Amino acid sequence: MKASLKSIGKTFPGVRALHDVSIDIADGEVLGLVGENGAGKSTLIKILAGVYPHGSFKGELIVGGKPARFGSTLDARRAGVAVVHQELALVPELSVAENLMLGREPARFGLLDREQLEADARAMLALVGLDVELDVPVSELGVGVQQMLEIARALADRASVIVLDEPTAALTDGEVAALFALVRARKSEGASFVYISHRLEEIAALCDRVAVLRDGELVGVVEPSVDLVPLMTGEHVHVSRAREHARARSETPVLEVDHLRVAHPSRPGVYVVDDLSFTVAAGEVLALAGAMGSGRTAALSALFGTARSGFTGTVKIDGNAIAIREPRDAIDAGIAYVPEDRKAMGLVLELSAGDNLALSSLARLSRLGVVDAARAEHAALTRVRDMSIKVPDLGAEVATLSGGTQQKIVIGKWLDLEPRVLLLDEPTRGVDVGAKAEIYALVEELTGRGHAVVIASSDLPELVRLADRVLVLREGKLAGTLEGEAIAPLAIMQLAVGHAVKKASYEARA
Amino acid sequence: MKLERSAHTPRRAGDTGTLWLAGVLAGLWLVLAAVPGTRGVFLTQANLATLLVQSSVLLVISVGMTLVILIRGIDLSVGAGVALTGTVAAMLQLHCGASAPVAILAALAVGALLGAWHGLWTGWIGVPSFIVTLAGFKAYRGGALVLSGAKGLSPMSAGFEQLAGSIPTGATYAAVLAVLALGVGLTLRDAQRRKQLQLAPLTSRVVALRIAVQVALAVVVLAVFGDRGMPVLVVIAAAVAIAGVFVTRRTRFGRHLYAIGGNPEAARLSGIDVRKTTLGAFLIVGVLTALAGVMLAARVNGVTPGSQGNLLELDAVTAVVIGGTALGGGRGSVIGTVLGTLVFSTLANGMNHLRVDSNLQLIFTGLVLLVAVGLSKGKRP
Repeated sequence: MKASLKSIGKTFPGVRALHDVSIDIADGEVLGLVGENGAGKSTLIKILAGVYPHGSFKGELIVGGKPARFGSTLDARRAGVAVVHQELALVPELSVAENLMLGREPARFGLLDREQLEADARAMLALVGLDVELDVPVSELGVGVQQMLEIARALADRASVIVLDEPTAALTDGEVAALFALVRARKSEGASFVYISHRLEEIAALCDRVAVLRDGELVGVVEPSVDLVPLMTGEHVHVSRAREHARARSETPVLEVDHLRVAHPSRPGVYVVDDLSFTVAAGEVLALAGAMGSGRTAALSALFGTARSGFTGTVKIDGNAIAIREPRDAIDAGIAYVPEDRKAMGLVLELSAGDNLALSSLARLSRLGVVDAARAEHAALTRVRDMSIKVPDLGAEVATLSGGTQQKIVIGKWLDLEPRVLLLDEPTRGVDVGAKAEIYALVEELTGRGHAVVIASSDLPELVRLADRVLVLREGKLAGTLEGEAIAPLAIMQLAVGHAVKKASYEARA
Repeated sequence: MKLERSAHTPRRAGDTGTLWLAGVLAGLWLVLAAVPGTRGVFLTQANLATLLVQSSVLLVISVGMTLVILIRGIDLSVGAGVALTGTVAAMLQLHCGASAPVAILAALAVGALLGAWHGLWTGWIGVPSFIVTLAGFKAYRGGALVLSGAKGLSPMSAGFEQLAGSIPTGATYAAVLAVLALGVGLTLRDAQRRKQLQLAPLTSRVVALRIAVQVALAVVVLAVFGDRGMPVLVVIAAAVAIAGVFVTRRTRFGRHLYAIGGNPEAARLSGIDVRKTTLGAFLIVGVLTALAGVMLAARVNGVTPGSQGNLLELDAVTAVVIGGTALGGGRGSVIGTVLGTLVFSTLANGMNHLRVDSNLQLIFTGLVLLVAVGLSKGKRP
């Protein structure tokens, strides 16, 4: 037995985060850990990682056969527990090598041994099979590569228990395959993993057993082949894989984009979106697919007026050409945008749920600049009820809410404005299954009411589920369009990478 | 959804911090009243009146400073701005024979220009406000010295003497009661609006509590100023403070300040005009700086361009931070700043009564700043 959690319980003021959870992690196994947001996964991991020190929780922790009393994360690391957190902990300005060796820089009398540092960093990269320049600042790398660097850092500790918290959220399929190969290799050497993911197909492909948490309690430890969704939600929320075609689609385009070109923010002559044209009709869901950096996000943010170096091309809403220089212009024209990174760009974490919901419509809620607080609250309450946003009350700080709830707030803040076009970037990233289904239902409801939706996503089942048409981008250019029955994960993948994907390599995960 | 029942008035971040600070202030007052060193003069009408007059200039500056700190900015130029705007007003009076209202309006206009200048550099050109206003810190002091030929300007004319005086007793009662009526009216209107829109009602306890606090404040103010009339400087400072509370809590502009301070990117993507709001905040500080410049010139009956308003910027930052506003922006309140300013002034006043050496006072004030922020760390999420 590598590690055991015995009757773990943890309460925060007013919240019981965990209650009597006992899990064993066997030698050389990959244990899946699933549950909706707020089920207690993060708390459990933080206890294992020493973030919550011994004494601040109930129960006992046994690592390597000995009772573990971690006072800090450093204690946990020394005992062989390494955690790759969902949020990246890299210093953007430092180089790849400096980041990999952060906190363990080789030095003599305080003087940095740069050569040794590079050599060690190179060895760590070799460990994860990653090929990047050692001296580039991390900020110039894609999120996927950054994530792999984090993983390299954890593996280099020669940890015996490695916790991976949503490691694939930002990875391309190629990188996911590489990660899985790595995990399997280390597992065969005897290392144990705890693998947390919302992507159940990954759990099924990688894990030996799966522990399911719900409302802070362990529902059970099951075979990965079991249908996990009912266990996680406690009810039968079924995310339909079949697309529903019954939509009030009209032929008149709401949004017309012609020859959209977006320049690379720092490299002149390079275009992150290169000559993209499309239309979206009322009631239609158009999807933009493609690998990371293929131009999905760049296209959406350009349409919302946030492209740093601007864009060329024409954009029409309901046939009227509009000039989009900044978000205000887009909003005034009836465009709403739900950005990829909700914490950095969608929410004001310091403010309450109610204040966040009112963020975009304060102009409508005020007279002569004075906000009608009662009306704002009424509007927010209506939104909370209609969208079943799970908040204790409007005063709840959004920072404390689950990912799914936060995402509904980011979407909800636009709905008062009745936007003609809704741009959604990764609308369900880091969102639990139940909330995912509700967001899908919301998209369908909005299109049913005649809104046009453009969605960018790396979640292929999501595209299959929602999209009427899929534009696949590759290096900023349109690689192909899929429509109706032709929309399938494999077809999207093939267009995205530009050559035939071996069916097996994808199916192995799917 | 069970929300219907559990929904209540949104909590405001900082409410507990504000209460805590009010407790600290009350505690300070009681201690200063009780210790023998103050010879029982602290809680007298005369001393409290002095205390409030002494606080008034700092309070006006601090309210403005709160707005810019809320959006992650700072204004280091306010002390020099006080000197420059005061100099402008004094020069107009002494050398051009302008009447007090003209001189005051001119000073306010200069203040607005300075504020707009900061706003443009910060919002449009993107220079951090620390740098923009550090430049002002140097330049405006220089400007005041150049304009005045580095000579002291005094005395101020008749109009300014009135600023340093008090309003009549009748007017004091009228003003306090009018503000009280406004406060009670707003409270009742809130309750009414909530009922009308079928929101979770304010309980009668909450309504009663709010009104009780307002009445208590009015009683205290009347107890201090009722039979001698309220000093004009205090009237101005109170008006600025009340306007500040209103603007931050109840206006769109105010809400935008919190959103921008919390997450400028999310604010921009929500359609908030970050640049204009930034300009607005700096413009307001500029005007309040000029107002403080005029008030100080009136209080000391003259302007010493080389030293007037020295260190005022740092005193204001101290008051704002003691008041619980985060230097990182997004969190804080004008009410906190009012309490912070009063704590700051109370310490100064109390130490004078206790005959603490003025050099020791500096050391002590520094420690209080550290301890206040350190203690309140645990009070905030």
